[in-house]
Amino acid sequence: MSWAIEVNNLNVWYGDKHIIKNISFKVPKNIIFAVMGPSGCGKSTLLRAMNRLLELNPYARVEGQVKINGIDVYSDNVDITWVRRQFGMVFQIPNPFPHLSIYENVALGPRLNGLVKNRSQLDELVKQALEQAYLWDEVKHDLKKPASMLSGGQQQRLCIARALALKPRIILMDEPTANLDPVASSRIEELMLELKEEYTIIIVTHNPQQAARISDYVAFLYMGELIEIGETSVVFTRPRHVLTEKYVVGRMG
Amino acid sequence: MSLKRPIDYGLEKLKGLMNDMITLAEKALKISIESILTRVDSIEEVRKTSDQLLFMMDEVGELAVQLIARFQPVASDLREIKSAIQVSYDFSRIGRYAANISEIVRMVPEGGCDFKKINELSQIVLEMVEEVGRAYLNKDLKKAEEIKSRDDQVDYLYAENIKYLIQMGGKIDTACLLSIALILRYLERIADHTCYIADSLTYIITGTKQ
Repeated sequence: MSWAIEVNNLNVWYGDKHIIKNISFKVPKNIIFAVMGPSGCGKSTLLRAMNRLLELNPYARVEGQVKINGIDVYSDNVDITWVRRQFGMVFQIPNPFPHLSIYENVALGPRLNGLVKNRSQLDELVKQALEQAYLWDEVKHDLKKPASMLSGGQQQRLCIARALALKPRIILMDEPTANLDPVASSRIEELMLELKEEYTIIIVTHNPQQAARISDYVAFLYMGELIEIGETSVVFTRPRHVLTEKYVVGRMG
Repeated sequence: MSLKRPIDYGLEKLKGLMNDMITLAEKALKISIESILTRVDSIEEVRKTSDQLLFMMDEVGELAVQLIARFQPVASDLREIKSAIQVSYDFSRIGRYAANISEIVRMVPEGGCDFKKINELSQIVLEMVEEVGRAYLNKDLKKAEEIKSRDDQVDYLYAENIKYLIQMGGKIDTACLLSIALILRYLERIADHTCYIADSLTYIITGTKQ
């Protein structure tokens, strides 16, 4: 099997605090992989270790490997820009550039990264990304309007379109629906199921029901340790570990 | 463009499994009736199909549990999943009765038996199985009601044929008499299961139990 990402013996510290404790796992391509666990278990840290976003934190220290296509993103000779380009990232709070137009929010990345040669190519790329994010029909007549005029759910889909425009291999999502109402959340979940045909999606969620609904594989993290990993249909019907059982049935803590 | 709900992927898989079960149950019954009328031994083939149906019933049950655990279905989704467990059992039973019918070939004496008495009933029951399968997949409430109304005809024919066999006691070969009686009984039970499936369909569509 070819893997989208391989994590080997990953450890993360914030100062003296050991946050991620020697975690190893592999994620197959074109699936939704959910990382679930209670608050503070290290799931967002794990996500940020994958695309080296933790380097922005001066107290963070990472050891271990994160391999994409066999290349360890932490190797000395790997370009950080290349690493970031492999991942699209979507955060808990929709964070479009509020004063830029809807069009510019999507166009900025491809333009800065030299992905297009002319305006018509850029137009096509923006349209394609917005269509993939199932937002095109809602915004095609308002492309010049500021992103801030969109609803929260639409802003989150704009952020997804912005990530897709850079043609990443993997999309990282950190609680992407935590700030959305149930209808907008459902749209994002439905969208993820479409996107996995082309991308590998890794989502962090503190909501086990969401992990159950949308993921193909799921990992359960507790106090920085990987307690259990497996097919979602198995983990939610017959978990192997007593802690996973307690967590998914809502009897933890 | 519209997106699918997460549960829709699972419901499609469930529908695919049910579709396969319906095809197999029809096939099993058709072969078993033909084997009786033509005296061709098809026991192994029908048993194999029956075993497949039993295996698929477990698959449906497992998938249904997964769907409930993962998607917290409500209303029509929940009724559909709950009913799939019941209906898959009904189709597996139809497969089992078909296997029982096919086994009767080995009870038939050298000179053969006159199976005219099962002709009419077997045709009606076969049609009921085919129609209930289609009605289930197409969510056809009207057809479900029609199928149930045909069960009265099945019960009548069954009772009449049994009466006839009692009268014929001692006049025809005992093995033949038993063979015909058993086939009639199995067919009557299969018809009952088509009615249970029709009831499940009514429950899925209307939410009311018969």
